[in-house]
Amino acid sequence: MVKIRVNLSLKEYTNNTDIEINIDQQVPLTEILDKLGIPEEQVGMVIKNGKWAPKSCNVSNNDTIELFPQLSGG
Amino acid sequence: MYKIVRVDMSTKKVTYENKEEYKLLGGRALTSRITYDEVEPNCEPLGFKNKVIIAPGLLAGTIASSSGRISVGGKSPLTNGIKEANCGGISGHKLAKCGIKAIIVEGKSTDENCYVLKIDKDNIILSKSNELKYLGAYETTAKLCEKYGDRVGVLCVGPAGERGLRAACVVSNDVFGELRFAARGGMGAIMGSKGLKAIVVDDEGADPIKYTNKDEFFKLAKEFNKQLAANPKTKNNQKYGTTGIVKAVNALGALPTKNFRYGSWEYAEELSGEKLYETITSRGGEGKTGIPCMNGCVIRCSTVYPDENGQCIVSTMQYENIALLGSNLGFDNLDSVARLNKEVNDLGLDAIEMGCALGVALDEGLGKFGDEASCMSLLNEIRRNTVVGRMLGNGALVTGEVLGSSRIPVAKGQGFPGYDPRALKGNGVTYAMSPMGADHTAGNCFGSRNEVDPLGTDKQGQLSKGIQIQIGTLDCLGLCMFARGPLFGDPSLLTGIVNSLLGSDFNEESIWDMAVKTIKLEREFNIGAGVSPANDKLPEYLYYEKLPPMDSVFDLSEEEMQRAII
Repeated sequence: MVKIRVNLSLKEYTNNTDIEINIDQQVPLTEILDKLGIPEEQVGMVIKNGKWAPKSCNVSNNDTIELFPQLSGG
Repeated sequence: MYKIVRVDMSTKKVTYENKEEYKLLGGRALTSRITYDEVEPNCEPLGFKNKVIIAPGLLAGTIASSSGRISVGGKSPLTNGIKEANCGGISGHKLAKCGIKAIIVEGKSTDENCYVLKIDKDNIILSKSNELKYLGAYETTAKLCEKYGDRVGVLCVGPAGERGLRAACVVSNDVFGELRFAARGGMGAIMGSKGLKAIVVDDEGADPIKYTNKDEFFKLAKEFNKQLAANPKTKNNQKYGTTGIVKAVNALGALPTKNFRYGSWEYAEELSGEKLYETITSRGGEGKTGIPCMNGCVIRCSTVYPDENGQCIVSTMQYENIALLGSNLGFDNLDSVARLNKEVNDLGLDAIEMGCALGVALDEGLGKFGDEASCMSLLNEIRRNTVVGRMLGNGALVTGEVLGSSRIPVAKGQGFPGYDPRALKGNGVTYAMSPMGADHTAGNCFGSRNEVDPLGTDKQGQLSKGIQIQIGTLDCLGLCMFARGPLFGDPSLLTGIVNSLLGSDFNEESIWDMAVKTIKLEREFNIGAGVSPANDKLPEYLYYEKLPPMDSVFDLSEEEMQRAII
């Protein structure tokens, strides 16, 4: 089971809810985004198991992913 | 023909001049260049020789979205080096419409009077307004709008500026009469030290802005505005303001918490942009989201935060204010942060510097984290101008030194913004290496490039350098950093806009030179001021004290740091 928490405007793509999905094997995060209909370019930051990760990271079962949209500090 | 206005506060004389060599300089490029040209680097920041320079950016007065920011510069009493702080509000556009490229305030009034500079399209008059002496920023602005009309732009200082407290800012009114702050580096202390309480700008009847190629400018500016409105970042900025990043910075482990002892806060959700939006919309009344601070801005990231009865507490709650006055002081609710924010604003102080100073003070036992009464009591010391108040109002470094703290979150004498450099190392580079000291607006690596690991030890120098140059260019143009999306994505749009206004010939490479040249000048000024490369560092505790929850320290090599030098 992969838990995916989405934040701010990304919730529009998930009906305002967090998501849990099962995957058979390790897959690139971009594949999951594609499956969920979240445009990759809308994702600004990825936190994987509590730490920053590049968008190109791979995801395995039991991972927790938090997604943030593109944001600017200020 | 544009004017540079020179106000000599010693003689009370106002004169005008025009320098061809300044034609293509605006905003930070101009405040820093005039400081470099006219201010002795080793002068006393609050003395006779320092100057405060106020300049709109090159695009001010035009229809380009988010282009009316006003720069305030001089030699900082906090960093002892050159400084520029900028903010939104309505005065930038109005000054440009009055044909004013910069105001240089120099000398020092030797009498005890309080002065106001009134600018309109025909006249500039300096007059006494002693009824404003030591009034808070809100009342000062209200009285000036009452006297001169509610459409005028006001730039003023609060009592902190009049008393020369180094954390004092210059305050600007916005479209809705709320306040914005050119906050960093103590620019309000310079203005106050000269005896100048406020500048009032009335552009009624002023001639329209002159464009070299108006049709081209309007075509490109409209395209820019359209792209900016559609930019993915704009949607979040409009709904949540800058507070949309609270949870993201918390997730990175970089959210200042209890005087930078922790990088995440169990109550971050309660301080988040989502909570802010929900609170404002559910309380209603005077609460607002998605409002602009300057005319014509399509981002509209300002908010009005109301109390439970729907009455405005403060506008606008920004990420930095929430991080420094919120989690850094151990607060778990936005109402407390809003009330502290309002008080800091009224005193005319930088919320970031005060969040750092109060954080150090609480850590040293002067109050309790998360206790609003403790913090209000300390702010009241500033209001009453007591010794403790003067210590706090002079910023985090003075506060920490007086109290004997070994954990003072400053770089080049200036308090850290809302990103702990141990968990967002690119910002540590900016704090240490930028001529501006610990100032997120000098090159904020948060959210700018997703490919650099914030905890990694490489690529941080280059990342900081690149952002310092890009953001520095926006500072020269008077553009808000949140407007960068379409312009950095297609620099030809940026050059087209600038060239069609000014008749210049910037190309996609040379446009960045305005920042490069400015930052080089700033660095040279700093060396003359004694802010040598030996000051390009962070406080020692960051190199050995692990920051939970990432358990990271600031561990970049000297070589990596040097890569950020421009």
